[in-house]
Amino acid sequence: MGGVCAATHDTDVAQRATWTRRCAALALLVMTPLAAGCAASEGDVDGSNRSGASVSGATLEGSLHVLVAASLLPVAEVLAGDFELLHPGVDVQIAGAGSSALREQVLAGAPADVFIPADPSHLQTVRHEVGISGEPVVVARNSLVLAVPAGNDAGVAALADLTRPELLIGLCAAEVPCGAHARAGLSRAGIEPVPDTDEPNVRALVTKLAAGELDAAVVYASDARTAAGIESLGWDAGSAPETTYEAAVLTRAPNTQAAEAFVDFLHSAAARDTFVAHGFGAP
Amino acid sequence: MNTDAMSTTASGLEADIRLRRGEFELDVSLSVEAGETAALLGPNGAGKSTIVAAVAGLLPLNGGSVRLAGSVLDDPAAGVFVPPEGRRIGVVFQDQVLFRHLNALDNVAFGLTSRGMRRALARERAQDWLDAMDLGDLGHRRPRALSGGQRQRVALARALACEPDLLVADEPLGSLDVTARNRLRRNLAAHLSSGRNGGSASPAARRHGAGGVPRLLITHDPTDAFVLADHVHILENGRLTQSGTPDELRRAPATAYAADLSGINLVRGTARDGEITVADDDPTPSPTGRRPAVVLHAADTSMFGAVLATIHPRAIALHRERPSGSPRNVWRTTAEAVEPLGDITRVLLGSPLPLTADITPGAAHELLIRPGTTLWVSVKATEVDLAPDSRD
Amino acid sequence: MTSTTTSTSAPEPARRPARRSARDLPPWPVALLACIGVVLFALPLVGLVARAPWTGLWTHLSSRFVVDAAVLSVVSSIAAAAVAALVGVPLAWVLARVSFPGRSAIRALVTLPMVLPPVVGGAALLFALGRRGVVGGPLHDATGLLLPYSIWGVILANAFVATPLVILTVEGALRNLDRRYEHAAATLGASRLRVLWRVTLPMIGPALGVAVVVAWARALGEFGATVTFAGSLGGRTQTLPLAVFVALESNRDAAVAISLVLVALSLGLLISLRDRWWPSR
Repeated sequence: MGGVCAATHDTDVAQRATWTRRCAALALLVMTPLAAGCAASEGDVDGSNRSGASVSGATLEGSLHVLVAASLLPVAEVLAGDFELLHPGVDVQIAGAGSSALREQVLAGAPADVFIPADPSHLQTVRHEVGISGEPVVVARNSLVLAVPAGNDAGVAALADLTRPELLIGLCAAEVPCGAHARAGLSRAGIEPVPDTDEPNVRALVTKLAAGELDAAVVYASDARTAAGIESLGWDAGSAPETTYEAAVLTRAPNTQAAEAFVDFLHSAAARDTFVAHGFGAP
Repeated sequence: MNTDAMSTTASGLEADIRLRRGEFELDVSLSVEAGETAALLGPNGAGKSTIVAAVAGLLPLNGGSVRLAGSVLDDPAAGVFVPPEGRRIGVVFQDQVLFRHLNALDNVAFGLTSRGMRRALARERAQDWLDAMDLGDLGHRRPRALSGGQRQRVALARALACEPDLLVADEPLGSLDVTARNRLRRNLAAHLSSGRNGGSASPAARRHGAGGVPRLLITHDPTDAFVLADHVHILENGRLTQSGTPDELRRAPATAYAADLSGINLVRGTARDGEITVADDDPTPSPTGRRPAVVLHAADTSMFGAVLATIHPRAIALHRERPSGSPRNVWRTTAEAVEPLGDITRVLLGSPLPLTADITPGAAHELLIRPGTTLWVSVKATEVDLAPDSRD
Repeated sequence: MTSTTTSTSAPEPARRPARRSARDLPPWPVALLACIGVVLFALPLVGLVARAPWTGLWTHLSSRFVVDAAVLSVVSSIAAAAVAALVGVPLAWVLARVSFPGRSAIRALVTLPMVLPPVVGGAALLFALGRRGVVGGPLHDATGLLLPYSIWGVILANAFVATPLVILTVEGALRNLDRRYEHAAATLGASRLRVLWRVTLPMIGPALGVAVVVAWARALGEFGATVTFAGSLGGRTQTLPLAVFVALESNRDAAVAISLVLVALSLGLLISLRDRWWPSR
């Protein structure tokens, strides 16, 4: 747990960093403007440029609001902690949700600095309607895999088993990135899955799979790696469908300096190792 | 328990009720013979409604027994308990408790269909009962569209329609205004007395033999008890403090409460425009031949014909001199007896109108009342309550 | 607008002259807060209507996946309301009429789904009745029956969140019902079941009606427990709320169109309830 923050100019609430982050995430889910109330910041008297990453020499401070795709949430929390160690003056607040929900929040004026959706297409609308400073940077890749609950009681062996009607098969809904990519990949391989459920997001799918209530599902490699009770069987039909995570700094970001530093940090070798450790592919 | 002796007829009610409800303890033995109306008279909180519940089977006894028409309905010692739906007891509840989702006809038919009668037949019978209650064309009305008196008659019809072995009426006149009360009291008397005096009974009541069953009237109003009942039981704090005919109770009240309500003066007469010509009950001719008729003035000018005038003993003022002022009823009489009853002194007045007056001991002392003392009596017209006399 | 929400003086309109007396008007802080309340509830509706794709509305609503979801929603919510009444009324009767140790614990238990996040409720159902569930596992092994991913799962999840509404409403009505009506029926020879059927239930009829309709509305809007327990598959388990949620990801116009239908349905129902059942006194 980080130290207690001292109140400064923009807000007056001193909070522990973790609590702040949770609070912000929750608030963003419920009602974005409230998130501002939970913000805290800290002035760091100590020189902060201790990292080897490509950060400018200026002292970074203030709070940083980062909106990430739900699949990125666990790794983003870790990376935010690392970043705060490098820049004790910065308080990173991570909010994770479905990419389109986050996009709507950004369009509706949520106080965000960095936006990292699961599918770069979401950035197009944001670029046109809100504005992006600079070019989006690919920070990680994720591929889809066939996953089964630990033990694989149903004896699922390959993607072709997704067509077996007697098995309980789950996919993401076609409307969300993981579902769209999975269907595209299966279609390329000539496989017609017979799902028993099209879950509205990948977390719900992972939960059901881990509980053993599904025999097989197509999920992100990162989920298969980190979620307990799930085994990955990889992708056995051609090249695995992939998605890329592009980070963009919003034009109206309240804390542009810290935002750019954070995006640079995500691109750093240290961050890359963290991504890989969580099952993501390097950019 | 000496119920083996079967002192009453086999068709009567024999109740020996012992019940505890929290702090309250009820211990009452009473019997009602077939064709008889017994009144249970007592103040609020005396346990009257608990007795209704115990007799009807809504509250199991803790001890004692309830027997009706020769069969045991409740006897905890013997392990017998017949639930309410298994007893043939018609209950007229306080405030009627008519089913508000059913019309009057279906309310009356409810008991019949509950006991297995076909719906059409039950409705036919129910219609007979409504006809008998002068409610023949109101069968389609829901209770809320009926007047208080009409509701009470529906409740009575509902209780009687099942041809019960016992009729229990809990404060049947309690929630009615004075006019409705008087009208209904007459109606109730007709139904309660139909066994004894068939002349005024309704056709349905006669046909279904409502007159032959024992009847238990629960009331806090001495007028109801004295007018409607053959026997009156006085209930105070869970115990019967006195039982007897209305006359017996009035002659020798055993407790202050009994004295208070048994002192109620009931005067029969004929009303016309607020003037009541008092009937001459005394069969012995007066020494001077025909006695002069006594006329009482009442504030209520709406009643005509046979009436029962009620005068509370405390409403009678006694004077040594002829009183001046406004009282409408003033006459001269003699004190026949003077009884100290604790807080009050009861004075029994002689001819021309034998009444009971309650005055404070101080006033009695001041007036120097002894038996034989000549007194002036005054009663305000507003203190003379009238009810239709349904005894004949 | 505010006067309708604050006027409570219905009992004596007949005696009152046409002109309102000052007592009928709310004190200004009450009026202000009531106004804010109305705005709070009206604004989202305005937002929905403003975003509505009026020209293509019919195209959206007649699309296959919307029709499928609507049919499933109507069927499953009605079934759930029926289950809620069937289970909730007896339970309410027991809670209102039978005194037994642990009654408050049971009451808390059966009303828990009202405060539990629906997703948690759905997960709990899954752990209990899923294929690997405590009860669902043996059941599935023995009979092959599987509640999740079927309309039965949808109905169960809907009933799970809707039944507490029936229980609370009906229990309150039973407690307010004068027991003497039941006593009167018993003295008239009615068996306990007949008393329940012919007297108790008809007399709490209005409350029962409200309870069932509110339960139905709750089931119609159910999302979290349904998606967690029964999953979401077009034509099988995807109800209207699930369809809205998924459509928001890709086809916002369709999502708004479906939402409008849900709002219109619920609003119409609640308004009709107001006249019919909620005591206007």
